[in-house]
Amino acid sequence: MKNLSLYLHIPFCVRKCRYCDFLSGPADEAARQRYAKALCREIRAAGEFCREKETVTTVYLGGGTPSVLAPVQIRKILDTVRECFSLEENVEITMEINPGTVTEEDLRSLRAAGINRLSVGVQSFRDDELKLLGRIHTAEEAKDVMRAARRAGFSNLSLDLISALPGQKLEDFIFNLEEAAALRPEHISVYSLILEEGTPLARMAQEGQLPPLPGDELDREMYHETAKILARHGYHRYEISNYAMDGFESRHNSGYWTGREYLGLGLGASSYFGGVRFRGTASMGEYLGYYGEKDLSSVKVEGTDFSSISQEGTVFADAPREEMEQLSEEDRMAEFMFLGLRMTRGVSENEFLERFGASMEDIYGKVLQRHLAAGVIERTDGRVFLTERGIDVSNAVMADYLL
Amino acid sequence: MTDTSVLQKHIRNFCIVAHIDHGKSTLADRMIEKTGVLTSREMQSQVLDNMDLERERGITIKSQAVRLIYQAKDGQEYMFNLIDTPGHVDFNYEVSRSLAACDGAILVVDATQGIQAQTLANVYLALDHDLDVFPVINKIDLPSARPDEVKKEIEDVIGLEAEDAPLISAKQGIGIEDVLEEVVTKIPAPDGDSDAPLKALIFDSLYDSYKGVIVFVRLRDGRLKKGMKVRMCASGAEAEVVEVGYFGPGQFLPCDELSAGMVGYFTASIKNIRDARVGDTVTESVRPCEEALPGYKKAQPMVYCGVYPSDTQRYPDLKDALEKLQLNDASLFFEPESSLALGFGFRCGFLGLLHMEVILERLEREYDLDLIATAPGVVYRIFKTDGTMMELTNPSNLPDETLIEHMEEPIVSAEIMVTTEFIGSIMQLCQERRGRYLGTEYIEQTRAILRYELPLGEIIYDFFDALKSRSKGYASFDYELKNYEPAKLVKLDILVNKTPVDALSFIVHADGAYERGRKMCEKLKDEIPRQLFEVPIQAAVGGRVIARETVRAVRKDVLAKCYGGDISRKKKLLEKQKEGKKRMQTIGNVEIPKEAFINVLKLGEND
Repeated sequence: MKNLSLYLHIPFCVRKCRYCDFLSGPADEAARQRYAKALCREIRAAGEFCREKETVTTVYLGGGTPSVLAPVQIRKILDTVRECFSLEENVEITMEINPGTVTEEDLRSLRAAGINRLSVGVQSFRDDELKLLGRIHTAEEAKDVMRAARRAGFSNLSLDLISALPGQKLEDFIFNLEEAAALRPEHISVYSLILEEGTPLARMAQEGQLPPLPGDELDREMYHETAKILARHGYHRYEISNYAMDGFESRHNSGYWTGREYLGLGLGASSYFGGVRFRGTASMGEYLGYYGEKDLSSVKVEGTDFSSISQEGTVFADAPREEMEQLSEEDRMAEFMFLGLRMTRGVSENEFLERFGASMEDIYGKVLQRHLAAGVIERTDGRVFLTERGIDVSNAVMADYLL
Repeated sequence: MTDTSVLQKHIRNFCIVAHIDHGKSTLADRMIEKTGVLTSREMQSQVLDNMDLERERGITIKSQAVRLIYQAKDGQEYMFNLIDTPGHVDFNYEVSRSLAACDGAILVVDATQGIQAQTLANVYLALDHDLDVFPVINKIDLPSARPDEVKKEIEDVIGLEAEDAPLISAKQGIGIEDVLEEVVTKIPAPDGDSDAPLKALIFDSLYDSYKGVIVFVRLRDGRLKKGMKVRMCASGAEAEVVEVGYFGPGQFLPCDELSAGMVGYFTASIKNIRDARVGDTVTESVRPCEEALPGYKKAQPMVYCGVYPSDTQRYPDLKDALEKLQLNDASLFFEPESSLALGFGFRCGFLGLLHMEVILERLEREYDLDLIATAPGVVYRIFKTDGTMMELTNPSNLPDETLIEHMEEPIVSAEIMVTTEFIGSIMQLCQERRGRYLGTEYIEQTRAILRYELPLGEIIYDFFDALKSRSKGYASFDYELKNYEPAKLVKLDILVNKTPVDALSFIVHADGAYERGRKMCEKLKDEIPRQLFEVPIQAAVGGRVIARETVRAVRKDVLAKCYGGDISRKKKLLEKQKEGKKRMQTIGNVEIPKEAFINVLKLGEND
């Protein structure tokens, strides 16, 4: 019996934020209906595909803004999950919500539907910053939704912030951190802003319409302040961008860093299953065409890499994909390293040996030596992890572990 | 007219000597035109320079010859052998071998610039070879021409009769007839006996893949015919002559025989260019001459540098290209060497900096190679405590300090011709380059020759550029090797992250070590991308650090979010990053792009 995580993608939002390059956009009720239905069919197909009925330990509804779906639709989706997979008793079921899209009553319904963790996209507690980012809510609304969630019975809340916003000063950011901590969420994620190509914010920056972006120095200062300030409030950093009170680390996200299998369902979602990484189609037309109204019994398997899967499971196996990659041993070693190093506890040398039958020293001895000398990693008690300095330059460090 | 019908007294073998840009090649072109060998339509400009590179740089690299037939005013037909010579100081060696084939020389002097440093050098060289020299004054069409003053300069400085010197404009074709007539009257006919045993000087050679070595000769005595068995006096090689001929403009024209006084070529299926060395004497096997001609001294490379292919895979191609070039240019020296930073390459020796540049350009252009050249250095003499002496051409081979008794460096005598307003700044430059002032000689009120002794090592670096910029282009310069003198020399090492970069080491005078070291560090600092850690760049002499720069560490390179388990996207980003690193060389744990070496080693920098 294996452990499995599920990611369910809801590609809808009220309005696209200026910095967002995720697969998401506004849609009408009819479109949302069609999508929710198709997603349920995909969940069924995926359930058949995993005929061993792996135990699902975490479910994550992400987006987009999943909370633009009506609570009843969410309930339907989760019911389908329960029907098709066996869920662990204390399964973590997270849903991303956006302030301004849910009422307290909605939150009660979501809690009743089985959601037990909310990830709230707050991003900032300053209205001018929120406006600049193109968020649809105010700071006050964000606080309201946090309080409402507590009243609705949520005992595991996460809050997202973005640092290094255009024109942001260190004290502006610290203000955001303090406000966040004051709401006492169990978990806080802090990402520094990345101007993704093609987003309105990137264009505005190019055209000089934005206040100057904080430089690398200030960005790093904000980063290191985050750890210090949140520590004072009882949060510890457990991953490059994630902070939690003891015992409230995101189990779902941790799965990504430790190489656990997960199925990503919904438009353009990524999966890692049976040693294969794959991603579903990003075309809504194709997705609805496949998982929509038509009879799926006619679908046949052709040239897929999955071995011995049930006839019913072929529907999922044969679904339209964007990418599909069978990982080699080297790929898996590299991922073990560069994903594991995102976590503050780093990677275990024993685990590496158990998993790959070769020692980390044999495979990466030279790189480790170089990184130790450069002070970007530490190696103690059979574990290897990034130093604070290593975190600052983690891309360059991690790239060295590719084989 | 058949070749044998030319009377020896109607032959004129001569060359044209001039300072660079004074119009030597243009005059040669006009003379070829006027003698009617070619129609104007057939004339490309500058017929004699047939290498692309020569045309672009406006200098003549490889000496060549052309035979012209001239109908003189006295009603006689004359055979002119015009032998082209390189004008640049680096090619003095080639100049002298060309001169050995001549009986006289035309001295071209620019009417606007007057005598320049290389004018003197070339005239002295011609006089040393006992040539009769007559001057012509070129560019008289220019508004700034001052022919009377220039005539006076020629008489005062060189001591040549210049009163009747033809006033010409090679460019406009003015006065060319006068020059041709002067060749007839001022240059002597060759002496020598056509009936005596064959005695011919090899003054150049060329390798042709079909014909083998094409040997350029000047016949002193005797005749050279097809089918004749010849012997090279010095090498002892024997061969049967397959073809004899003379030089048409840019081509070889076969003929029946060459006789005493003539200039031409022969082929004899000689496969190895070493069998027919320049300077050797050709004679007939069955009837050899009594003694060989004096020949010349072999050219000694004065400047050395390491040459490496950018793409290490192309080492064999570079080797092949150097071998081919060497066939045509015996003064090019090379031997294999390897460098930690640059891989496998060659240590190459050149006659001078220009020679080096020309060879490097030819390698890149004609053999399609991408090269990295290390900083040029000279040949130092290392006197060791055990009483032996070694010639050092590669700084990496410098013995340990404790084994060195003392070191000597090559010194040149230099003449710098400059207008008086710049004397101050040029003297300052020479002072900075450890020059020893010998004296000033005024040619006229506004111009003077400065005489200095300078270490060769100081002028191969960027002296020419500095000279030009400090005199607004008005100074000209010539030098010849004088001797070796003891000097306080040290090896300057460049260390990246405490690891010496062998390709960047060089020998320098102790007093200049700090300055050079500092500049190298500064330059390298700009070329090395930021790393994960702070990288010290140091210049050191004998283990003592004398200058330091620091490449600051990368401040931030982190991707915060790994969205929705899209690990592939993250991996692609890392792969791209890794790809970038692959193109770099790792020295002392520091990833350095190849371009960094190229840029740091680039010649002719302004600093």
